[in-house]
Order: sequence, then C-alpha cells, then structure tokens
Amino acid sequence: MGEGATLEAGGVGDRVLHTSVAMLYSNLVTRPTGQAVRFAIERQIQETPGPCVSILDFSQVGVIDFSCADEVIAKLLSKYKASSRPSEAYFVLQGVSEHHREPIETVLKQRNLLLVAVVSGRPTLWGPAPPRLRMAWDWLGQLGQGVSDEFASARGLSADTAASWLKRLVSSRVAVAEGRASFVSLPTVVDKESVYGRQAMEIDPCRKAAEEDAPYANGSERGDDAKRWRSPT
Amino acid sequence: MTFVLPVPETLDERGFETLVSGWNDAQGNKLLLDARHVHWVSPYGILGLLAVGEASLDRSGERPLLQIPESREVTSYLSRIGFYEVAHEIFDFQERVRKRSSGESDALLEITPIQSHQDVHDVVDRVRDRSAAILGKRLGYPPPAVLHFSVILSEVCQNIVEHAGADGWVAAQAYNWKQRLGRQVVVIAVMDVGMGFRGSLAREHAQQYGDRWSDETALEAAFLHGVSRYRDPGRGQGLQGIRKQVSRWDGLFTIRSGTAQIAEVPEWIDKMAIAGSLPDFPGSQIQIVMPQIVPTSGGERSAGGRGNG
Repeated sequence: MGEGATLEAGGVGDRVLHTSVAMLYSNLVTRPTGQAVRFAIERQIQETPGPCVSILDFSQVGVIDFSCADEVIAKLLSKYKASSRPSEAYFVLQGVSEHHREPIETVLKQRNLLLVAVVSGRPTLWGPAPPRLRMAWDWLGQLGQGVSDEFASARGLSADTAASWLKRLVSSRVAVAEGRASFVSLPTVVDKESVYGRQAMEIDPCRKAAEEDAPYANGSERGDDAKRWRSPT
Repeated sequence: MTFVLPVPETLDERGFETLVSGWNDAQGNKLLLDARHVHWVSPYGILGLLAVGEASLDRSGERPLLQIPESREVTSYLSRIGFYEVAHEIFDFQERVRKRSSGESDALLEITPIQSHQDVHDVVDRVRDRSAAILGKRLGYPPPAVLHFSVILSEVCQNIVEHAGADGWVAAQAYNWKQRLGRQVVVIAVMDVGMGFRGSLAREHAQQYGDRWSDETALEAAFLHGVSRYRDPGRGQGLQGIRKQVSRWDGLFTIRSGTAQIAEVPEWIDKMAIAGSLPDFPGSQIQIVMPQIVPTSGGERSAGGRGNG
C-alpha cells in the first residue's frame, strides 16, 4: 500500500495504542479486575479520534484466569466485532506466553472469536478458525496485503471464494479491508508505524482510567460483590 | 439439649462424611463437637469441621462447642495452618485459643477465608513462591504448573464469591499420601455452606429438568456441561478448565454439594464418578488432589499408578 492510500476503515493504522494490561495487577484474576481493565482500554479507545489498533501488552502479566480472560479479551472483542460497535478498533496481543494461551483460547472458543497474538515476535492466529480460514490468514500475513484476485489465483480458488474468506477475516477483525477488494493483515497495519516513522501512542491516561475503575482501590470494603463494580464511575 | 458429635479420629474426606451424617442427626440441637481423639486431619477434613460448625451456627443460631484434639501433633498442625483464628469466629472453645506461631507455616496455603474478590487476589499473590517450591521441588511439576495451579485456586475461590451466597474457606497442603498412593500429593480444599450448586442453578435451569432436578443433575450440569446460573455465554468455563488441567496432572477433582458428589477420577483411585444419596449438607465442598510426578523406567514423567488403598 502506498503511503497516501486510505484504508476503508478510515486510517486504522494511524493510531496504534499500547496498553499494558497489567496496569493494576500483575495477576489478572477475577471478573471485577477484568472488567476494570476492559473499561480502561475502552476509555482509551474512546478518547482516541478515529479508528485504531489497540496493542494489549501481556509481558508483565503473571497469571490470567478464565474469568478475567472472558472479561478482558472476549468481551472486548465481542463489543468491537458487533455491528453496533462504538468505534473502529482492532486488537493485537503482545508479550503473551504459553501459559496465557489456554484461558484466552478457551474464552475465544466459547464466544467464537479470533484474535491476533504475537508470540515470541511472531504473529499467530488464536481462536476457533477453520483450517481454510487459518490458511487464508497465513497467506495474507505472508503477503502483508493483497487483493482477492491475487489470492484466488495463488490458491487456485474462484474469485468469489477467495473474497469470501478474506471478508471473513475482516469480519472477525483479524484483517483490515482496504477498498472493496484489497486486504491488509493486522500485523502489517501495526508494522506500518515503523515504516512510516510514526510513533506509537503511549497512553498514560490509561493507568489513570484503570485506577478510577479499580475494584479494590480507595479502601473498598471486603465482603464486596461484583454488582458494585458493574457501573463504571 | 446438647448433642454430642464425636469427630472421627481420621478427619479426612471419609471422616467428613461421618461428621455430616452426625450433623444431620443432631437436627436443631446445640452441638458439641468432640474432637479430642482426632489423630490425623487433612485440609479437606479440617475445613469440613469448620463447615459443620458454621452450618450448625446457621441452623440453630447458637455457636457449637468444640473440644479440641488432645494430640499435640494435631493441635500443633491446626495452629500452623491457622485453624484457631478462623474457628474462634464459629465455635465456643473450652480451652484457650492457640495462636499461630510467628514462624513460617509449612502449609502451601493456610486456612484463608474467602469473602470477596480481593481475597481471591490475595490468595493468588500469596501462594506463588510457596507453590513454586512445593510443586517444583517436592512434586516434580514443571515451572508452568505453578501458574496453572494459581488459575485453579483463583477459579475455585471465585466459585464461592460468585455463586455460594455465603463466605467460605480455602486451604492447601502438601503431604505424603502414603496409604492411598504411596507418594506425595498437594491437596486443595475449598468449602462453603451457601446455597450449593442446586440452589445456584435452580432459577435458570430447574424447569428444563423437571422431576429430574436434583443435586446430582445440578452437579452434572455445571461440572460436565459448563452450565452456569448466568445466561452470559462466557460463564461456566472455570470448572471446565480445572477439570482439564487436573486431568492432565492425573489428579483427583471432587465436588460435593447437597446430597451428591461428582468427580474427575484418575486411575490410581477407586471412586465413583458421581454419587448420590449422601447425607444432606449445605453449600459446596471441593477437593483437588495433585500427585507427585515420578520418572518412569523409560525416563518419562508420570503421576499415574494405582495406589494401595
């Protein structure tokens, strides 16, 4: 893609947000904690004008349990995959380790979601993707970007079938459509930041937002229950 | 009238069943739990004693009396695992409460009340170093097991906060399970005397089961099928995740609730996968047993092998 090209999503690569998901706790356990982290990420996205890629950094996370994975990852992806999503946001996990994988894969499977995770520097596709869809994602990843006709001829597919797979990647939010027939892999969108010499935005207010939503902050009482944290302040 | 309930000499899972049976016989009478002759306790047994006390208090409104064990070894262990700090909230003692010594306990996790999500965080934070030492050095588990162990602890403790409608406790201990397995194990026990699985799931799921709705079917629904009382599709994954992980470790995972018990059963123990018609008892009582991994003759590492009893 040329520098002047415009993504259909409205320049999703123009905003790359880095968020340490261990902003409050190094161990991501319990639903209220997950909810607070998710609220902070959502607030960060809301405060960003236009589309964005949110890089969720797990490098400081010790443990993530199933409940917290559902609250942070699955609910976030579900919200921004839905047609009623509040804005155009894509998500990439970074700094994940093998022990984070099972809880996250479990909740992705439960809600039929896909996610790009960078493991040891290599982008991988997590979630319940059928083999052909996974192959399409791998292929797009190798190319970085491509049009569906190229994909069709390289894979020996009809143009309609190729377009259908690539559109499924887009609807699963693991690729970005550029115009009607061109597609960009999500890791490529993120990589463009260095290609174009733009600085990824480090969002300090994220921590502040997280602290405001923190379930156990400011001397919150013991014996509390989940309902107390349902409404963001 | 005071009903005297002798606490079994061996206070483990079987001892707890005896205790529960006696608790049912006591009905609404004031209870005196006579633990003087107890000579061995497991984490499950000791939490069971607390649970029976709490259930008695709930039922009669009166604190049950407790006669503590005469065995120095047992009382010392109870002190180290933090039994008395919790017990004084539930029982009336005939003897002075023995405070925990200031030194480090040898328990993986002392008896810890679970009342809130913050308690779950505290438990996960607290066990990290000890579980690394015990699981890694004593039981031969690979380093990631420490993290999986923390996830298990988190999920079983959250079960109390999210579903029980009452407070509960957790404890974990490594010891030599000589009689049953002939090797070391780590045992996690988690208990509450809240609404139990049947009570928790009833509103959303009882109707579809009709006459078949029971403690057994409620446990099956949650344990085998990941059913939750919440309609949210992301719920119910915790227990499923624990089952998978414990199974990989060739461990035992049991949940008792009401009149039933369900289990993920490894080969090394003879146990029913599901049992009904047990003496009724409120809440949920969970036990996870993780056996020591031993190298096999082929150099592989295995936790399996049938025990001797």
